[in-house]
This record gives sequence, C-alpha cells and structure tokens, in this order.
Amino acid sequence: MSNSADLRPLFVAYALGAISPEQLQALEAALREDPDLRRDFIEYMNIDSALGDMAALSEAELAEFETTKPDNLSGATGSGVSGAIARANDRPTQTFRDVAFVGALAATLLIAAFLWFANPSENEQLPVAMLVADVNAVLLCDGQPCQGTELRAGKYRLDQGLLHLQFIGGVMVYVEAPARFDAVSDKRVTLHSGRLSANVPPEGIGFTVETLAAEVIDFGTEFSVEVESSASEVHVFEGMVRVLPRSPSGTKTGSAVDLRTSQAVMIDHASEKPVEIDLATDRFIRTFDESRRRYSGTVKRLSPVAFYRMAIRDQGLACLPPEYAGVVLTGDGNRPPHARGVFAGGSLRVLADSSGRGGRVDIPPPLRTGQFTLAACVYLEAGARNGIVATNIRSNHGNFALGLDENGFLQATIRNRDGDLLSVSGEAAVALHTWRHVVMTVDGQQFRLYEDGHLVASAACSPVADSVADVLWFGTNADGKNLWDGRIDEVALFDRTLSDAEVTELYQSALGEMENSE
Amino acid sequence: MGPDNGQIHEQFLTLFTANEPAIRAYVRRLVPTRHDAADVMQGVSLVLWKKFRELDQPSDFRKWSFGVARFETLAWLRDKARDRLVLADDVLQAVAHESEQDEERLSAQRDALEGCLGKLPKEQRTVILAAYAPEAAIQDVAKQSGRTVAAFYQWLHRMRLRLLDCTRRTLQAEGLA
Repeated sequence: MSNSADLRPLFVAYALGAISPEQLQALEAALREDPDLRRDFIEYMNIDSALGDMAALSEAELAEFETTKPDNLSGATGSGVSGAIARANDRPTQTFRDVAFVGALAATLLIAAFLWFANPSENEQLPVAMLVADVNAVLLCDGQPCQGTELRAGKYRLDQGLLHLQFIGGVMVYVEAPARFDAVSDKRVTLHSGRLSANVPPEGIGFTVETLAAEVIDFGTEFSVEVESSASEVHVFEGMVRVLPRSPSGTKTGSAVDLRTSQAVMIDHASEKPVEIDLATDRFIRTFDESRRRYSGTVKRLSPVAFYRMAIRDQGLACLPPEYAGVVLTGDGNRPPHARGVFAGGSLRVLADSSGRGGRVDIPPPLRTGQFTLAACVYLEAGARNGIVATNIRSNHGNFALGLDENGFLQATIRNRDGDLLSVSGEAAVALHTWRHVVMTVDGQQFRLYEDGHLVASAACSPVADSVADVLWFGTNADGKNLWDGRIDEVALFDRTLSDAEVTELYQSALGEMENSE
Repeated sequence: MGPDNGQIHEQFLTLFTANEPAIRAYVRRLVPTRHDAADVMQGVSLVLWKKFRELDQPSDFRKWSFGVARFETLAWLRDKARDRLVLADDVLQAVAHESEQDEERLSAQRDALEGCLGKLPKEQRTVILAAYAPEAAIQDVAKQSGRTVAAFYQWLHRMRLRLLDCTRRTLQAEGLA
C-alpha cells in the first residue's frame, strides 16, 4: 500500500471532476514521486472503468441479450457491421461485461463505417504533411523517389537539399539533408538522423519529435532537434517544449525536462541524461521565409533591455533575457486559454471572456539612463477605458505607463526626475479587433507617442526618473484594475530612445504579420 | 491485392470488440471522469478504424491500439488543460506507461471485479451499479439510498476501495498480484 495513502480520498474528487487546483497539485506531486500511489491510482481508475462497463448493462438487458440470437441482432440494421458485432459477440469465451458496450460500440462503428464508405478517398492512406517548398531536395519515400507533394505516413530519407513541410495540424517543419525520418502521423515525427526545425502554431500543440534518446513534445513554439550517432540535441528558440528522455527501446528513462526560450540540451545516447548546452542560434535553418523573422530580428538588433514575446508557458511569461521573466495573473487559478499573437508563440490575453488578468514581472530590468522606449503590439476586443498595456507606476514609484485614457485614446505617461507625471494621448480611439503597433519614446527632451509607425503625440519632457526594481505589470495596473480587454504581444523595453526611423523600421517589419493575424 | 473492405471490417470489429474494454479502461485511467473517457473513446475508435490498415500483425492489436489511445487521450487532455484541471503531462505519461506494462494484471483485476461485486449484498450492488449507470443522476441515487450526496460519495469511495482490496486478494490467490 502506498505511503501517500492519505491522498487516496483525492482519487474520488479527481474521478468526479470536482478536485480543486490545490488538491490537484498535491495529488500530482505525490503521483510523480510515489510509485505505490500511482499503482493505487491506476487500479482505482481501473475499477472505476470496469464498474462503468458493468453498470451500462441492466439486468433486463443482460437477460434479453442472453436469450437473443446473433441473427436477431444483425437484423436490427441489416448492415454487415452489426452482423460482424454479433458474430464477434458470439465467441464462446465472452464474459457478460463484453456485452455491455455493444450498443455504444455499434453506434460508434456505424458512424465510422458511414464515414469510411461515404468518402471513398478515406480508403487510401491520408497524407500527414504537404511539401511546401524545397531547395535542391532529393527525397526518398520508403526507398523510392517521392512523387507529388503529399507525404503519407512512412519512412523518408533526405539525401540532399532542404525541405519545408507543413503537417496537417499546421506545424511547419524544416529538414536539412542528410536526414532520415519517419512521418508517423500528422502530429508525430521520428527523427533517426539529421536536423529538423519545427514551428508550431497553437492548433499544433502536442506535436512530438521522437529521437533515439528522447521524446520532444511541443507546447506551441519554435524549436530544433539534431540527431547524431552519439547524441540528440534540442534547442528552443521560443516557447516551451517538454523533453522526455527515453532508452532506444522506447522506455522512459528519466524525469521530463521543460526547456524554455533560449535553452538547449544534449542527451547522450549512452548515458540518456540531458545536459544543458548553449543555444545554437545560427546552426539550424528555421524558415525559408525571412520576412517572418524580421520583427524579432529587428527588435533584437536594436538591443532591448527586455523583450517579452508573450509566450506563456505554465503560467510563466518568457523573456529575453530570461532573468526578467514574469508570471501570468489569473482570476480563478486557471491559465487563460492560449491566445493567438502576431507571431508564433501566442500573446498575453487579458479579460476578453477569459480568466486572464494580466502579467507581472517582479524583477524587471533597471531603467537609469533618463531615456526610454516601449514598443508593443496590442489588440483591443472592447473599448475598455483606462486599460493598461504596461506600467511600473504605483503611487510614488515607477516611471512609465502605456494604455488608454478615459476616452479610449492611446495614452503614454512618464515620471520625470522631478517626480512629476506627464501624459500624452493619441488623436482617436484605438480601433477594435485589429492589431496595432504602438511605441512610446523619451529622449530627455521630447516625449513621443507612435501608432502604427506614425507620430500621434509629443510633448517637451525632461529625462525620465530612474527605476531600479519597480514591479512591472502588463494588462493591468498595480491594484489589479484598469484591465486591458484584449491581447498584448511583443513588448520590448529599451533604456534608450529609438529614432523615428527605427520606429518606422520596427512597424514595417511587423506590418505584414499584423495584417495577416486575427 | 489485399483483403477487401468487408474482410477488413470483420477483422477490425472482431479485434476491436475483444479489446474494447481494455482500451476503454486504459483511457479511463488517463482522464479525470467517466464522461471524459466516453468522449475520448469516440475519437479513439474512429482513429483506430481509419488507421487499421497500418497495423502489421493482428496479434499486435492491443499494443497498437494502446499507442493510438495514448496519443489521442494525451492530445485531448492537452487541449482540455487550458480550461480544465487535469494531471500534468509527465504524470500522465508515467500512468500510461505503467498501465501498459501492467495491463495483464489490470485486465485480470477487471475480471475479478465481477466476482467481488457478486459477494456484496444485493442491495449494495444494486446501488453501486445504479450510480454508475449511464445518465445516472447521483442526487437521485443518493436520495433513494437514504444518504446525502456528500455522504453518498464517501460511501461510494469506501465501496470502491473495498472492491479494490477484494480484487487484489483474488489476484493474489491466483498468483497474479
């Protein structure tokens, strides 16, 4: 019996769907650590399932079945499916439990059979991926030169060139020769050797790359995997993946390792232990389309002190550099649903019919140069007045805020070194249901506010007050009020002023993606 | 030329029918509630059917179907994890893995349950099965058994533990524990 036997009452709460977040956390931790409790749990649920099967058959139904000939059953629909079920049920080894699910099974399989025959093309194996583009690729499908642009489940060998594939779930995959991989399904690839990079949209979450040493499960992100004869490497460029070390026979051999933005590990095939390594930013080909990368590349080139791409993983708010990472605030303990952003990796969703209540950074970057820039992409669902995009102002502390004023116009506020607050506002209410690029800058003389690359307000202004450790809030003020009603993405903070030309460049590099995002 | 659709149908149905309780129980061990299991099973059975031609050996059906069920269930749970309380992926992976390893004993346990249930007084057995019946309203079952809903859940929990212990003893007697 388990040492954690006192947690067994939580099984019933879990099995009823009535477990609280705290109870789930306690149960999860105990199940993770205690194999005996896991066994108890598995057996408890096993009994639960068997009871359900038994109860599905009433005494009357059982009696009726026992006196019913198989021919009578098949006569119910006259289809071969029912007949086959009846024949299967006529096996002498059958227990009465086997009968319990026949009704439900027949219904399910009749639907399946209908779908099967209604669409003859379903009889052929469905493609799991499409070839989007290639560069001098020589690809073999199950040992033969590939034909067409559809990839079905099977074994592939890329002897030369580059491949860009789109899996049916929307996942973009780039493969570099020489590589050997199996397309297992639309959500799973086994990489035997070579390099593969994946870009996973929200609808593709759960996409898994399997190697000899690990199973890499994605949570909506961008990552690369390299498999060599002695080791596998996993590099995460944005978001989070879960790496499950495994032996060559497929058995899980160690604890799951969560890799976040800018982290990488190598797993030696012999030791099966993940070891942290440096991120290889230049080694992998991660897109054939450079425009997609332009915005983050442009931001990084401008040297922000912190860049929040709003990848939300396990209630964490990823940041470059990671030491300024934050947390997601939720109203009822539930993580807000994944929200589509301008670029891959999602965005911070606040209100908009979700439990999102913004984000908080307890250790933000220091701002001490007297100059400041904040750039962000924002999407407004409803005209919430006074909604905050980002701020570190709380009573007499903090030095900037960006949000809406009481009219729903964009408003930027800074505190100068005399302690005075100064605000400027845009010229019109922020449009709803569209991504906007917003920037505020202070150079020590001028305070400027830009919307979609255009200067919409400016005022004379002395240098910005220093901020060393003022908590940074996204989508809310420090009191949990003035919530933004929509999404916030790609927030970059700079301790210098971006010029007009740099603001324009940033906007233009985001323009294409913003127009195509919903 | 492979077997025709009718033959494939029959082969699939035979295998699926024989293995469905095990697959359902496997899914049940991974999802929070019985309703979730029913929800997932709808999708699993369709995927098994669609992918049936990928199965090399009929003798591998159970192992193969567990693999499909595992993937479908975990994908379903990841989807639900955004707005539901479900166990973390690594815990579920461990449960799935150990479930597969232990399936022979778990299957015997499900069989042993029949006998254990039969040892209960008929009144208790009837109430348990009523609580597990499809579309059962727990409030009604609790009321008919003369208990409050909270007390009824406690009673049901204790009965499940009793049945669990009984099945373990049965398996032990059969040398399967």
